[in-house]
Amino acid sequence: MAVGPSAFMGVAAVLFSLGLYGVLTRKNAVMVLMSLELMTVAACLNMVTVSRFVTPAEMTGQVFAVFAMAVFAAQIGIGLALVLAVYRQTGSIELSSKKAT
Amino acid sequence: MLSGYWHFTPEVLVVCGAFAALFGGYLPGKDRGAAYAAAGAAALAAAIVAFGGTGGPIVFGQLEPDSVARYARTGLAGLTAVWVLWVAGRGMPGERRREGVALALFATAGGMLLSMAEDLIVMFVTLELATMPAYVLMGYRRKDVSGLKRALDYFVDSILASVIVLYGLSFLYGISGSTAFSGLELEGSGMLGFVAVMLTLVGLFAKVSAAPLRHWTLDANAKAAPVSLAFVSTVPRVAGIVVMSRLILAIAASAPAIGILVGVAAAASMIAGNCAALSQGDLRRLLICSGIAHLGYLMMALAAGTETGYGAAVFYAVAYAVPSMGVMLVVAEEGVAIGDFARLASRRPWVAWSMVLWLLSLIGIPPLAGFFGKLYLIGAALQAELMALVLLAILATLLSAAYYFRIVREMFFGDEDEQVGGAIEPSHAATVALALCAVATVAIGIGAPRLIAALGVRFG
Amino acid sequence: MSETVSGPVFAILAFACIGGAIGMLSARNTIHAALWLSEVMLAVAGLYLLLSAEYLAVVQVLIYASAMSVVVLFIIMLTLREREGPVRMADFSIGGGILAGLTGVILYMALADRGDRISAMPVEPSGTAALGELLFGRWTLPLEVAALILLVSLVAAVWWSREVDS
Repeated sequence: MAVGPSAFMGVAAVLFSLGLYGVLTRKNAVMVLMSLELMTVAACLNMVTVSRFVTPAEMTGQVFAVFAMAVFAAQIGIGLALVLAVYRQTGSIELSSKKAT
Repeated sequence: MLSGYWHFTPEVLVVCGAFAALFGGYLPGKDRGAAYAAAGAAALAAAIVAFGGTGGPIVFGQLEPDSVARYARTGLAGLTAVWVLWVAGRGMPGERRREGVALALFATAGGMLLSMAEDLIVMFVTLELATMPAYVLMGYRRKDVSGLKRALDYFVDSILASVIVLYGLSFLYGISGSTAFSGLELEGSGMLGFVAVMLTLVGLFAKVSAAPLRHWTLDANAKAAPVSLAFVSTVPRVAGIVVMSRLILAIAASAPAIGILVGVAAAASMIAGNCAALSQGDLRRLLICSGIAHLGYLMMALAAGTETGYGAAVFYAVAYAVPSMGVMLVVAEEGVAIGDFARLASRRPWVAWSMVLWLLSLIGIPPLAGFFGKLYLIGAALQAELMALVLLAILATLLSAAYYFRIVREMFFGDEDEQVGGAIEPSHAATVALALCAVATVAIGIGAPRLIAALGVRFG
Repeated sequence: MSETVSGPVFAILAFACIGGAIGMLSARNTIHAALWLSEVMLAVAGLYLLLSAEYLAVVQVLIYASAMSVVVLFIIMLTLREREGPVRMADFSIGGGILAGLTGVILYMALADRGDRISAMPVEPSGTAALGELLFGRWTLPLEVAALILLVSLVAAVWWSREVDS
């Protein structure tokens, strides 16, 4: 059984949708950040797949994935600092924008 | 390969300014001195870009310092210089200036690189650098709990937009097998190409706060400090618009359907932005809503998918940002409620007349920047025969005059009894910053024909 | 002679990825969710190995499965006031579910439409050393920008985490 690129991209698509679901439905800020990580990993998996199957020599997708990882690690770091700053003053880590939904 | 690296001088200067601000405690004048140093660096960078040359692709074709990029970079550095100068005079509310100024300069450096980007990887990384400091500025006041909470909401929305862009870019790269803008080829990609374009555009629209995702930024931003808003709603946004225009132009050749997508988003932005702005009493909300509408006019030209539309859109991005920055800075001085502007004309006549100038430019009255900007946008749309969008834009402009004139009426004929705010202490730096905004609004208007020719816009 | 990816290994890793993600979203406790997330990250690292991206697999384990998980766990522990029931059950908002489901369906359709045009894997690509040369050669510019991004996040984290006397 040969596993082609669309199998990998399919896994990535499922992870992306699950992450999106988490971001849209969860109120807990940490859970939302974890769901965002899930989406990022899905995007990276997509790029590495393309890199392997379409441009194996240039490895552009791998380079892109390295940058995406670095950038999102920094982002999640900021996010957690912000969660902590909010928590220190309010004692809550719920996102206020989702009160209505 | 090392040739062409001198093109980075302005960006390096801006980053140096940011470092100077970070270590502002060691500078003479401490906090204020740090802000002055940063403003000087940004202004110098703007001058270097403006008088420096343009060139072909540099750094393996990842950047292209062409004339469009030169215009956008000058605008970005100039706007930052004005903002930092104002902050040097008036300060950040409740906190010291240094970190805020440094973050703003980092964002500017990212934005300047972004407006030269010709490659998906470079675009993504610089887009993050340009927009990341924005949410720090949104939650800059650490004692303001609700401000921090809103910053958290804004942060989550912004990252979600980034991830969606990233996912879309991974498909774009997968289809074309290359990350260079010039190598993007969507011909015959079918459904997957459509999904790739959709994801990328939806994410980018959210980043520059266009419809349909504009309510995110509206709710998160509408109560932020006006100083932060003056920066966040201009500099990173202009940079995002420039690169979005570049990307749309690059894709439009092989995917004509993109014009419809952008056109629909343009119409939605114009309608939603103007309707929401009509009933706002809070000037921050009013300006954010009208900003969405302005983005709608701009995307009307992008929907044409031509070089002309691209040049006109980039021209308008700066032509809109300059008066918008001016208005927002005055809001930061006077107060956010429309009643705070009562009888401004008798208290501070020069500021009131500058406000009139900016508001007229936002409406689009000749010979100011906004008039020519809208003229070129409409021209580009007419070339592509987008009659419906043009009609909508003209109607929307007439509608926008209604809410802009409400502010003017309040400044000249407002009820004086409502006014309780005391006299504002004079600050030379802030006055100079406002004056620069006013001069730039007129100068862009007067120089418009020459600027637009340099941007590669051709009519007829 | 083109290589192929081993079917069973892929199936196990894909199952681990998706199962872990579902486990994370349905966990009642944030700590369990964080552990599920680490498991997803490890499985994705396995997929990277199948795609012969060794460097990324290692980075994935080091950064996402270890460092980020530890930070997330720290934050969860710092923000827990009582250990019991700190998180609500997943709140099944209909709008969010529909939007996410729609995205999934559209992506599935798009992928099915595209089909397996290239099912045979190209020959073994260049390895980690080549990637390093690319990163510090052709892609130096984004690397420098990424350094600035890390600096910005550092400044931001310090700014927000300093005690404010109010």
